[in-house]
Amino acid sequence: MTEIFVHKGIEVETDAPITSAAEELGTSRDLFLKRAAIFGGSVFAAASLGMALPGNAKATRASDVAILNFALTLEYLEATFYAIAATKGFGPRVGRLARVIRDHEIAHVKALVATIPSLGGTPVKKPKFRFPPSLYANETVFLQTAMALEDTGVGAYNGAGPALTLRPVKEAAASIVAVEAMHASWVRGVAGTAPAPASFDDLLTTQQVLAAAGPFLA
Amino acid sequence: MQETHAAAETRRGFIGKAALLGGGALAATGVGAFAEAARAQSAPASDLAILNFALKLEYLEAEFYDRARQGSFGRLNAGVQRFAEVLYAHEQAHVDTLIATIPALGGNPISKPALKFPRLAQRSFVLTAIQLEQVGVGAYGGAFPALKLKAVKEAALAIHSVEARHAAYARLVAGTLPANVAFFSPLTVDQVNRRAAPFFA
Repeated sequence: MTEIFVHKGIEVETDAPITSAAEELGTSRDLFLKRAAIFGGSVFAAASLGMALPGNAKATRASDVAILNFALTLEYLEATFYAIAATKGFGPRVGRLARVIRDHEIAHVKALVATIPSLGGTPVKKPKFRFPPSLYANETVFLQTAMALEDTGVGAYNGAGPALTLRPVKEAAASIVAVEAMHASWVRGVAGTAPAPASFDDLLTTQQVLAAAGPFLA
Repeated sequence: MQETHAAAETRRGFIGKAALLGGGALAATGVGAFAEAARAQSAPASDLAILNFALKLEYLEAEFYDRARQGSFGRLNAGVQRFAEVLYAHEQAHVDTLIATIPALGGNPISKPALKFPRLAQRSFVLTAIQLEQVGVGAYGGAFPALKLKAVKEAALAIHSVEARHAAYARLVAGTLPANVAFFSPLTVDQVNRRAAPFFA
C-alpha cells in the first residue's frame, strides 16, 4: 500500500527505499526539477542569485551548508530508525506512526540532499548507524527512543536556526522543525506522556545534539 | 494528577519567563541569552513589530483556552479538559514573556485586543484549536526569517516549535493524523491576519 503526501508539488511515496538518497539524486538527470520542486524553487532561486552575490556571501553560504549537512546527518538517522521500525510488526497505531514519520524523514533527507549542492556544498553521505534489535523489543521501548530522537531533532534545528543566514534556508529550516515538533508531540502522545511538556522548547548546542545522537552512529 | 500536570506546565512557563528576563535556569537553552541581549541593546523596529504581532496571536490563544477550560464551550471530557489546561498555561506564559520582553528591548507591548469566539462545543473547540495552532505555527515560521536580533530569533524558535507541538496535540485529541505533511508551510502576515480575523472583535 502506498500513501502519497504532497507538499508544494513534490510527491513522496511512503514505500520509498532507504538507500543513500545522496547517490540516488546526485546522478539523477532531473535533479534540477526535483530541486526546484522541493522548495517551490526558492532555494534554487537563492543559489542562482548566489552567483551574483559579493564575496562575503560565500562564507555565509558555507556556514549554512555546514548546518544543513549536520541536519542531513540527523535526518538520515531518523529515516533509518523509522524504516527499521516499520518492519517490526508493531500494532496499527504505532505502525502507522513509524511509517508516516519515516516518510517525512525521507522527504527531509531528499530535500536537504537536493538543496545543499544548490548552495555550492556537497551533501554528506549516509552515515553508518547502529540500531540494535533491543531498541525495537516492544512498542514502549521504541517510543522512548523515538521521543528522544524527535526532541533532539527539534532542539537541533532550534539551536542552529539563529546562525542561518540565507532567507530560503531559514524558511526551509522553519518548515522542517515544525514537523519535527509535530512528530515529537505525536510520539509523546502515543507513549502516554505530555505531548507538549513545556512552554518553551530547548535550543540545543551541536555538542548536546551529538551527545544525544552519538550512541546511534556506528 | 491532571491539575498537578497543569501546575507543572505553568511552573515551567514561569521559569521560562524568569529566564528570558533575568537569565538563569534556562540559560543553556539559549533563552537565557535573550535576557543578556535584551539588556545590552534595543531590538530593531521590525523585530518589535513582529513580537507585537506574535503577542496579539498569543493573547487570542490564551483567551481561547482560558474560556475552554472554564466551560465556555460546554463540558469537556478529561482528555480535552487537560488539553485546554495545558495549552492555556503555555499560551499565557508566552503572553507574559512577550509583555515583559518587548519593553526590555525598547518597545511598547500592545494592549490586549477585543476578542470574540463562535459558539463551540467540545468537538468544534478541538477543531478550532487545530486551526488556531496551525496559524500560530505558520505565523512564527513565516516571521522567523525576517528577525534580526539573535536573542529574538532564539525566543521565536523556542515558541514556534511549542506551537507546532500544540497543533499535533490538538490533531491527536481530534483523532486525526498529528503530522500530515513533511514540510509545514510558513504563512505571510496577510495570511495570518485573514485566518485570525474572525476572532478579533
